[in-house]
Amino acid sequence: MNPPDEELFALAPEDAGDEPAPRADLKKRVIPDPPEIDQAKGRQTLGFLVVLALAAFVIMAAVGTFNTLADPYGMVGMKLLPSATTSDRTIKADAIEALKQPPQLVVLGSSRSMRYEPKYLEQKAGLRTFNAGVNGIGGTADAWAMTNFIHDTWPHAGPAYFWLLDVESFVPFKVQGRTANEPRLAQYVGGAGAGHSVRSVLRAVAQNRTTMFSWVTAKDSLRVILNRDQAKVKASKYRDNFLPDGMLKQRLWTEKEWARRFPKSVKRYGDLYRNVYKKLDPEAQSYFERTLKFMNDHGATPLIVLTPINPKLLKVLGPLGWPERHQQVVDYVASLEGKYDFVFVDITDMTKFGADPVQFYDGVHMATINTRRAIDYVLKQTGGIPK
Amino acid sequence: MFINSFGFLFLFLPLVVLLYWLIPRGHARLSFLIVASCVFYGLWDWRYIPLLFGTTLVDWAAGWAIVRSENQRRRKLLLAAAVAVNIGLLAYFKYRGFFFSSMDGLFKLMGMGEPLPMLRVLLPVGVSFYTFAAISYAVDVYRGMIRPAKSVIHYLAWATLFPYLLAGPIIRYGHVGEQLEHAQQRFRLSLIGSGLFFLVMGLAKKLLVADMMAPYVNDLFARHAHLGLLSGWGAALGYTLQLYFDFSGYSDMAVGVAFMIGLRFPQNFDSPYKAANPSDFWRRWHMSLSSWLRDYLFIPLGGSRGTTFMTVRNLLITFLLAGLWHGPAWTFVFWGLLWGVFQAVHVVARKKGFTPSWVWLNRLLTFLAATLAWVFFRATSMRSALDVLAAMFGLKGVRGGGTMPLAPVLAGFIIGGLLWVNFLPNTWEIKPQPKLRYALVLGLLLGASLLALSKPSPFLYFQF
Repeated sequence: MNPPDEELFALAPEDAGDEPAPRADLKKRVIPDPPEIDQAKGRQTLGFLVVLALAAFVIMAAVGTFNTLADPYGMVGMKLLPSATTSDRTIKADAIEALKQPPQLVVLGSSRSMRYEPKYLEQKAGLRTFNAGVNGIGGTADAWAMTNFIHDTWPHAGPAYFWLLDVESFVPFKVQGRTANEPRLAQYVGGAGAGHSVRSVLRAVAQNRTTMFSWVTAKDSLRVILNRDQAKVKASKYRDNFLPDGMLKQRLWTEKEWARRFPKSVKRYGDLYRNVYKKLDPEAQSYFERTLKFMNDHGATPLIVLTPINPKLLKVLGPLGWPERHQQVVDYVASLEGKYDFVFVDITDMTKFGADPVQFYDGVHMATINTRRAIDYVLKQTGGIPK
Repeated sequence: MFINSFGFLFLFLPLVVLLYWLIPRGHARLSFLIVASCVFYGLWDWRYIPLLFGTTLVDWAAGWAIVRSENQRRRKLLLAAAVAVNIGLLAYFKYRGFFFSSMDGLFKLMGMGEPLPMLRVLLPVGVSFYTFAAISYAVDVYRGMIRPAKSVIHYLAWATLFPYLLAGPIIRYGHVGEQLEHAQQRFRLSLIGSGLFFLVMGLAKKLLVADMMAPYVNDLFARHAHLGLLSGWGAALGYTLQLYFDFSGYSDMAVGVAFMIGLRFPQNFDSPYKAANPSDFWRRWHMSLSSWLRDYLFIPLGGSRGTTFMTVRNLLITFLLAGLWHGPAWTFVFWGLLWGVFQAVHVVARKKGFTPSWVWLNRLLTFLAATLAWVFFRATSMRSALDVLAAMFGLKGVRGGGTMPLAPVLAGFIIGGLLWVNFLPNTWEIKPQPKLRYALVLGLLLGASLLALSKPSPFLYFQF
């Protein structure tokens, strides 16, 4: 049988005639109330609520425990299974732990520093060098975390530092997610600490609760468990890009790569200067100064080098405020001269060291031919790595 | 603040419920409710709180003046003024851009150069819902259907009530006014239990079904030009089910939240995909809107009291405006018009005795009509809607561009969803009981939903 088949609104009692006359009483609600639990069953309802909460807790705890054990993003530091995502932080931390001898010179910086060759520096400066540069704009916190981690791993090394600072190292600041996700480094930037104590694991889980208590993570946990061999291969492929001394392997410059990557640099840095980078970020400055102090306290006088960008990109960023930010960074670093011991060299003008403007992979990353020229120039200017 | 966020579920809601029941009944409690609603709305965008108060207080003032006036002409003028202010503000905030862009399009067609200046103003969230609710108050007072609110506090407690403020349902004063005036004195655990029942059911519908389907559906609609027969139907059916689980999930959550503060909201969905004809569909889908349209638009236009022609005309006008209510876009206008045509065809067919007598055929035809209409509702342009329809009618082959296979996961959700909406009872047909099996099922659904909450997404009806 069909249900009643009237036109849309014809059922309305109001549709019977003209406007109804005003009524004194409130209109009785003709729409039924929603079904509800019998109010008389108070005790039973209490039990119902307790069981409901317990059941919810059990399923969440089960998924949370599963994700903690599988730790697919390496956030907790369990290391029982290969991580689904391998970050350069993890690779560098592993490499630092795997060094046979402590480093005598550490290269710090963003991705722009990752192709500065430790071997070349060793040859020029005579110091056993490790490249601890990691990806990411605004990496003063990364430098802080790396410096501390190297010190804690090799407490008696007392290395010198070759710190490649970018004008963009002081953009409004947020600790890089990848640093916060590597427990060995996260402990220095307010994240969970390394180690496998119950306390540190619980702390890491609490700090990453939205990720750990999630079906999305559970799916990746399952992937990691089911495909652990492939995950190992994938992770090791990325690892293969790095040398044991921390350097990102050299790659031949090609015009094709430049054509593909340069527009991305223009977009990325254009957006950054247009929308975000209006002044130096106090937190980035704070990490910078803390790192300088730490280095000084451990007997090091870092060599700080302000890195260049490609002239074509500079042309785009010029009207967007790059010269002003550059001057602010130079003034800021100069203002710290009495407070901390360091040597500062500005090579943002790449004509100074004879860089080839073609030998850039994109707007900011130099090929090896240029990084070598930069090293030669800096060491010539400073007379070697400061003690 | 999303109603499906950790902040709402674990901080705002428990705090508000606790304080609500601790504060003595009366003005203090209602004032607290207004403040809580303002905080809730303000967390979304505090700049529009004055608009919320302004729009709704116009109707309170009109209601106040109407009951004090003996002069029928003056009463009518007061009502007209209030409605004009409401519609004017709604038009300004919601339809100004649409008007200018449509005029621009027209001028361009006529070869007239410079585009009109555009003033971009953010759409105040929930404006369509609270404006319609406020209009219903003034009209109901005018008609004598309800007594005016006991005080402005009672009025504002209703007008700003946070469970329905952002995305409906459209709660009329007649629905909750009496409840607010005679607010429940004593806290009872059964209110929390019943509230949790609806809240969890709504969360599960939204997070475990609608949000799981969303990426697949969005992907298909984004690549409308490449759809084939299967993927075209996947897009249309996927959205048909996603929208139902999303919006009915929100409505269930609103009912659940209201329960926890002792209020009973009316039903907004009654298994709409079980409808046997277009009229039946609109008695089951977004019931608070369809009953609003019936009471304040269709009936004043003449309803179905005149000739068939007049009934058809009234239906077309009503649904055209219903489409426009949903959004300032031609796709919504066409969607409304389409429903008007479906209704009209049904009215005529019924009068001529052409309606099939087999209930499953009626249901299937109604469901297909709804699915077809939702394509326009979802599409970002008429062009993309027509692309999807062409794919559904096989005009682009079975595989379409060959790049858009129907994901097995989406296919699974569609099959499961179709079985659910056709054979399972809706939330209002289940009587919650404080029994172990209910607690276990709800607890598991709650846990599973919370695990899906790591990336909360807005409800689809927030945009309206």
